[in-house]
Amino acid sequence: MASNQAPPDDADDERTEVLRGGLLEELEFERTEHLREAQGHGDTPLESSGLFSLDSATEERPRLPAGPHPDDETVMSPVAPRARAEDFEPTVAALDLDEPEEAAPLAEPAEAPAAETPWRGLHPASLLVNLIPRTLSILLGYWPLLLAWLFGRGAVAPRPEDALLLMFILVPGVLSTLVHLFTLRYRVSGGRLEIRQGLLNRQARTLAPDRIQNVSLVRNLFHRASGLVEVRIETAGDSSTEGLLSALSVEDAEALLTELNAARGQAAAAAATDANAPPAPPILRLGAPELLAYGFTAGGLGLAILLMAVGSEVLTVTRPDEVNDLARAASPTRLVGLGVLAVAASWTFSALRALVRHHGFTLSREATPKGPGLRAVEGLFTRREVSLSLNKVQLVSAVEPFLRRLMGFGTVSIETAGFTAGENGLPAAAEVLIPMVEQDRLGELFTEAVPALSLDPWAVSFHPAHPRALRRAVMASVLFATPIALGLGIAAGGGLASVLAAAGVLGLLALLLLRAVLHHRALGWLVTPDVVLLRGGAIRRSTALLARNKLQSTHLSQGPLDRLHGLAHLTLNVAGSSVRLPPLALADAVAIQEELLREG
Amino acid sequence: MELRRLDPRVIWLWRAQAMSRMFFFWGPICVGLGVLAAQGSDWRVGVLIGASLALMLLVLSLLWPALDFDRFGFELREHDLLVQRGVLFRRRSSIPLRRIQHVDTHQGPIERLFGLSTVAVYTAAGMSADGSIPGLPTAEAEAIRDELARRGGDDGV
Repeated sequence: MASNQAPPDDADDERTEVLRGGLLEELEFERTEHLREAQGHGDTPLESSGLFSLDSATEERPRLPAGPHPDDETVMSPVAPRARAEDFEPTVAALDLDEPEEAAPLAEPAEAPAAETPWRGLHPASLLVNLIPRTLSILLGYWPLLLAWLFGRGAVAPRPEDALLLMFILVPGVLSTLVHLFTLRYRVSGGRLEIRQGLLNRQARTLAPDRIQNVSLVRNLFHRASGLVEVRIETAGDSSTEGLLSALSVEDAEALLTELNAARGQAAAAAATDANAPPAPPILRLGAPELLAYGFTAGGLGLAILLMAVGSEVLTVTRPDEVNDLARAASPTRLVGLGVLAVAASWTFSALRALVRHHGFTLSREATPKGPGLRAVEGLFTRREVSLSLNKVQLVSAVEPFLRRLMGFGTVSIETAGFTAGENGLPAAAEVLIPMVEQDRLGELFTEAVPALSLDPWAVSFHPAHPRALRRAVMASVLFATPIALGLGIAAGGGLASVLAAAGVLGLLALLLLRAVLHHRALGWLVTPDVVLLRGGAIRRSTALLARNKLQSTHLSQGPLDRLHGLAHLTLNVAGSSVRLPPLALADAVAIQEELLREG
Repeated sequence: MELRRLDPRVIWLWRAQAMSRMFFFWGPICVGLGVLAAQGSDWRVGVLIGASLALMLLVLSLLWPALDFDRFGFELREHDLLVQRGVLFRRRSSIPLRRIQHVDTHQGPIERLFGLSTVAVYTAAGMSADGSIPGLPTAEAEAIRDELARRGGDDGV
């Protein structure tokens, strides 16, 4: 392609200078226009292959042929890699379905102009939907600072510095929301979903539909008020699009899902998202009593301690005198009372959280573009809808913590290979968590998630761990406790004290041994032609199920102590997580590793 | 079953790598510990402690690669790639060929001196290589990579 050498004039140079400082987007836009004018809408070397391609995502896009370009572009290209004029039009314009006219000169004969799908943006109301939750989450993130600020300065009237501090905390969030709204563009083109975002720090992501693990629609309070919806798409090996398609109108969301389905080449399946289809009877529906019970059994000691710590901190700052009195009047009964209070508070808190989070939990079957699937809907304020197709299920697990098991319930989670941001923002693989399942329905739910499972894991007996594993655990406990007992006995200097100390340690040893025996007896494994089942946990029983055709790699490992006892551990990897078989004799472990290779 | 072995040159490669770790990481630590031990006592004590630590590590980094080489075996079997290794902690990994997402070979600066390459095999299970075979002559590494790439791979998730 022949390109005019646009003479780099002074104005251009100036702009390049400013450009490196920031505010890329407007300048880039102007600059583009400027160049075009200068060249009378001729071939403009806006994108030259080497310099403008930054990541693989961009490479998915049809490339424009390379051409020589003015020097100043070489200078700026590392900073503004993907800038194209039409990316930066105001939202409303970008919603127009017609390709902006001035983009035409960009299209080379090699690619048909019609193939260029228009980019779409977020709904303008996304500002409203995102701003308040984001502000709240920022404030929550700064809570220690805010507490210190509120209580630390006493009851003084607001000062100008306070406003400044608040500004300092809030402005970045507001700015990023604005940038998000004005820069996010997405489209389905060439069978792939492309999403671009960012002002200074641009990112472009391309998702192939057949890699999509699951799609969820999320609506918080503001989404529901404004009739918008957030679409989250999770793929294997990539992080989710959480927070990216944060506010689409329902029509846009539906159009997007339909396009994605069409791109998967299964138009018939588009009917799956059709609201007119008669809803399947739910597999499971949870009411308030179950959810309350779930919350009560989920409340932990850790939360109680945290609540106590925060409470005492606030008291110390607001009412120092009373705290002193309290400390003086502290008696064992009062301390126990306080502890009970804190535990009760934590239970209440987690019960309420469970009610809000899982309100109206409904699990039902659903046809997805890739065959049968499951759909879960839940949430009081933030409504979540998750749909996943069964052949993307990697791991199904059930936990029955002691209390919940006494009540006759367990919790099931179904994992696919996608990544969702879990608590603490760490990736967690659980896509669908079914909070409360009656014990005699756990097996049924396992079969719903993995139809190849032809038996009820709660009705069959598992193979035990190797007996030598118990011997090993017992030896480890004895080796752990004996030196401590001896050391304490000697340190106590003989006499009654050392006998008592040694007895205490021996009591501990007895507990360790009991634990080892219980733990060992709880372990179990089962390999059938289709699935692998694992069991563990004496007090908090857990059961895991994976389909053998989802196995990725298997690793057999043996430490020095294992070798002493002739034991080995087998770890099975599926996409997104892994499970470990109980200790087995080396030969058995190798045989299972070989056997697992055969199927799948 | 007799597994395929690495190129024996890998022993010297690993020794060289251990030496460079020694120089940049363990060496300074030994010196630091020596200086620390010399504080408040005779300087000779410090030298003794630092030197004996360094000597121990040196002997270990000369011996260990040979043991590691002895324990390393791999085989490209009908359905999987089998990699077995480990002196104290032994590991036997089986990567089904059809699960392979991609394979690559790479060569660090010291490896280049020895003319050796590493083959790394990735599945959908993890971010890091699920199986890797270090210390192969570059031509052989490339042959294995191509063989794995040819025989492996489906959607797999």
